[in-house]
Amino acid sequence: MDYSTSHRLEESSAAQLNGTSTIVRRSSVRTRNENVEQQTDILDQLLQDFGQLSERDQLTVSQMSANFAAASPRLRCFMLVDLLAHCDLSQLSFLAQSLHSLIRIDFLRALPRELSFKILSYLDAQSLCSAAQVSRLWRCLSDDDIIWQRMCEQHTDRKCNICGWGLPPLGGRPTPWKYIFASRLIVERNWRKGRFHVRELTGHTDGIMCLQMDNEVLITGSYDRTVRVWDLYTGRLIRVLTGHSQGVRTLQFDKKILITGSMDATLRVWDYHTGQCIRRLTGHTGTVVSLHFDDKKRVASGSADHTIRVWDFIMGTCFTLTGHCDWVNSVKLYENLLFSCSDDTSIRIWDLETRTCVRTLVGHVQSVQCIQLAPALAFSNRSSTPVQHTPSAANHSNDDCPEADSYPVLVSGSLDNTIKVWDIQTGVCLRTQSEHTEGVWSLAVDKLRIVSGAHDKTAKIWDKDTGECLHTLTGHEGPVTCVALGDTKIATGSDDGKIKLWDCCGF
Amino acid sequence: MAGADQKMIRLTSSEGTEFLVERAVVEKSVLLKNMLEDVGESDLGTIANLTLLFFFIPAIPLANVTGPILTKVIEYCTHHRDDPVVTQEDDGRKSSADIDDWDKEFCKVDQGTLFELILAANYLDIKPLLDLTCKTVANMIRGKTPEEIRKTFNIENDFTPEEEAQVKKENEWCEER
Repeated sequence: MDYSTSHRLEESSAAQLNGTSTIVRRSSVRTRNENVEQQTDILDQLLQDFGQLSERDQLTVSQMSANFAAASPRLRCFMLVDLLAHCDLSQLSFLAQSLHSLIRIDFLRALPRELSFKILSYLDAQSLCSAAQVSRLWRCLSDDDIIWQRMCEQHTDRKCNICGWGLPPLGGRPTPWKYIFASRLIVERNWRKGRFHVRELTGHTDGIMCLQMDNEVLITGSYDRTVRVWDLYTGRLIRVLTGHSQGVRTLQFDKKILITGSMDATLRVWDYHTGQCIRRLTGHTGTVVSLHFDDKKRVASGSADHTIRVWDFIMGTCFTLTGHCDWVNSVKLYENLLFSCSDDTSIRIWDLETRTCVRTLVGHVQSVQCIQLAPALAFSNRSSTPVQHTPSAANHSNDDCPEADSYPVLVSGSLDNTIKVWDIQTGVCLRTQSEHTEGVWSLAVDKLRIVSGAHDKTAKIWDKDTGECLHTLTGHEGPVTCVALGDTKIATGSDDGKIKLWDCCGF
Repeated sequence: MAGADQKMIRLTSSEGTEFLVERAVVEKSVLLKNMLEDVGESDLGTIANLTLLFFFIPAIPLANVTGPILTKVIEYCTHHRDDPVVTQEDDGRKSSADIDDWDKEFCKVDQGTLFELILAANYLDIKPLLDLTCKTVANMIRGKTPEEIRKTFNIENDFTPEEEAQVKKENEWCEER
């Protein structure tokens, strides 16, 4: 007998009505959470058993289904109601289970495309990747740029409140967006798991004192009096800048210029693309230990002569800030403020308009070697209980990075082995990170991480928001004197004259 | 029922079943709200208060919505009648875990009903209901393997073995390693 599949339901319930097999009894005691597959098996089994019925029984069933097939929708409803009235409890529960497996819809195929996209837009990356493997249509919809562009925007350069991940922004814009997301995810995963591809750059003949990198180049300064410019992709030395008569202690560059500070008490401004020294700044009477310039063409320098000088390139002026009673190890310009730290164990905040010290942060018990300004902590410690990340947090889309309306925090590293995070408005120390076993020489920060280099020959990666130590980078044979942090890599320089690049991109 | 001055609207489902619904509830649908505004106050009239004049209340035919689905939609709109109107554009990335218990219970329906609810919410332009129903489908997909998804929605695997291997490879990066 030839039965179309659309009549399966009637057949199987009819078979059950006839009380033919043990399968029916078995099915009636099945619990609701039996899976769909087993249910389909039962229906298939009943279909097979149908052939074993007597001819008379088969005729009864086929007449019934023929009548049903011929009926109008309204009449069908009456027939069903009538049938239901005749069912006992076990037959009803059999029906309930059968219906559950029969009413299944390929939503993405049946719905208008924009609604399919809407559904997919609620999914996480992993579920989207599973969805892409379901069928051709699902693949086409799940891989769509609309979905993945949104995923990228959702995660880029900040912590997603749902999954807690922050994906670093990557330069360039290759297509498609799913590919971009995938490469970022791989980078992020390597960051989280501390998987780095390590390269070593050698060339300096004495300890490395300072370094900085952008997407293309790394520039290093050394006790060997030279400044070296390296190609970050190939690791090759591009240029050696010579001129300082003593070791180079500090440097900073932007797209156009490089400024270096030296133990010869001078600062030099370079065109590092040509290697030419453009200018020499003199005035300090001791080693220039630190410098910082901003986009307003101001340069601040801290010196072993205990003073800070602020040079204004537009006005052509220079003034001195005095107050520290030992070497000034780091300086940072921020709007109309200047932050400085010193061997005298203090951190000072200066008002550049009045040229006075407006606050002193006290807490470190040894020389403070380095300070950095970091974006405000995402899960602010200012509220009494730190807000833990919970997947059910209601506001997901709107609360963006907080730095738009809040002040940065100050991160400091000291020879007392600790890193402290300070609220710059109140001067309160928000937390102390103390996992280094010797003094902290250098710090680098971004929105997600803090990296520190220490005398214990290690560099450590910390979660900026929680202060948790995530990874320890070992391998240098001397103290790690300087660190830099990029989207996909860390650069460290050591007293042993070696530079290491820790890259978590693409492997 | 609210105050006596509450205006009533008649809605007619595709089979011709009539529903008498408070205007405030009906206006959860942006489509119907705009329709009612276009018709204007005077046409609807205040006679709506009087039960006797029931049959003078203008009826809005909804040819795309069946009675059972309209019942569900009205149930939803009645429960959420006092919710503030969401003005900010939901970018579709809100957590789908934040469905409240009533809504969750409301969506415990078979796939056919859920499907028709999505279409009705889309047609009637009831954004919170559309969000809710789409999130519910997303939750049915989330965390499942491709094979589990196929089973859940009765989807045929139409990849060739070569294609399937290719797609699997393409998506390997997402597996936690």
